[in-house]
Amino acid sequence: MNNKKVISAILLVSDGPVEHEYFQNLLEINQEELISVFSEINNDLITTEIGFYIKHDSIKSDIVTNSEISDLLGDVKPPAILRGLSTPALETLAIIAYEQPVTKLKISEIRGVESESSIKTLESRGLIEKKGELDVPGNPILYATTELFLQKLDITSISNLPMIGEYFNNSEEE
Amino acid sequence: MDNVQVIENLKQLLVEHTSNTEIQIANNLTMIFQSFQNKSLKEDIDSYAEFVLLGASLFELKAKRLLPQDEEVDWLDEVELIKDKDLAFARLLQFKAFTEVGIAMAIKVKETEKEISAFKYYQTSSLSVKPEIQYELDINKFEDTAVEVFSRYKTIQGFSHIDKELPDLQEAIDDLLKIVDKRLNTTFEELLSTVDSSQEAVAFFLALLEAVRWGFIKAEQTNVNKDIIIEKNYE
Repeated sequence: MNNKKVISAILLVSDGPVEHEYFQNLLEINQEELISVFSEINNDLITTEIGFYIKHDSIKSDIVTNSEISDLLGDVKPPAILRGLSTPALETLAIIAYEQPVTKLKISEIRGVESESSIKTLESRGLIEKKGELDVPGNPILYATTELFLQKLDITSISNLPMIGEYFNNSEEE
Repeated sequence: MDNVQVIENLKQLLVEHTSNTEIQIANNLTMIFQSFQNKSLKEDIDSYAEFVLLGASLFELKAKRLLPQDEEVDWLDEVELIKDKDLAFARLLQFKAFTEVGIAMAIKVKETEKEISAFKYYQTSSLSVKPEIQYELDINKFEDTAVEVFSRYKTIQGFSHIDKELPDLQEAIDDLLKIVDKRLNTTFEELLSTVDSSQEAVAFFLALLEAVRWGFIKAEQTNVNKDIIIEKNYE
């Protein structure tokens, strides 16, 4: 069976990224062989000048459009997840990302202002979610980032978030 | 040799700088400035500057000693104050840092979104959350059940209410008031004996509550196990 056909078809119809393990079990191949198939497909796509490719990391893969044609996708492009988000909402997102799981009170303490509306906005966008309650009187809700947040930052785990200092090193260089 | 002399004079000034005798200090100063006048020293501008700085530092020390000393400083309060200041400053830095990080994240997300994934569920919070319990659904069984329900629901126990219209609450209130108006008193249980369904019974009970609230009737139940006695409100 042609693995290229199967893998590309599955990635096309799947409802999101597909984990390598799924392909490995289905096609009885190891990770190295799977990555090799991805490369073959991507080479074919480049040769034929197709506007998408298989993006993969160490865990999963997905079909994505080429970034250079992003501006030409116009209205068919889904709305940006951060559209219209204010700086306070971005601050709140950064705090939750680095302090998670974190309570609303802690977020407000760090920001020095009430953060209720920012949390609601981020929750409605699917970037954060409730992740249990703190075992103290009042049982405040704990917030954490979602899988979608990881996807949008192109990382596989929260542990892959850059150290806070790295942001400042880069900005100084710029 | 001249430099040595200047150093000696400075040393003398340092030794005696705690003295409050103005004559001594004046003498020392005169000696220092005399040694500064030396020609070879003036040519060496670096050394000259260093000596002047040394002299100035010594006078600063002396001046500080002459200032009144506050003996009753509460160092614990001072430490607490510094701690509070440090905390406030740390929080400000932390807040500023998160602002910058938030903006940096937004830039990164914008960059990532240039590559659009082929998946269909954008901005769905439960995208990757798998249910803890998964129900297996047999599509054929489900279809059979659906066909049966929609073809003969009236005959299946528990589905007979599907096409029944819910009773109108206003009508129920009107009916209730008519009955109560005709009798001196009645009970809710008697009223229920005239209804055909549980939906109508609920509507009657809601009508009773509304009528009592508006003051049209009085209702009394002396005991949970007793009947609810209803009578017209003549007040």
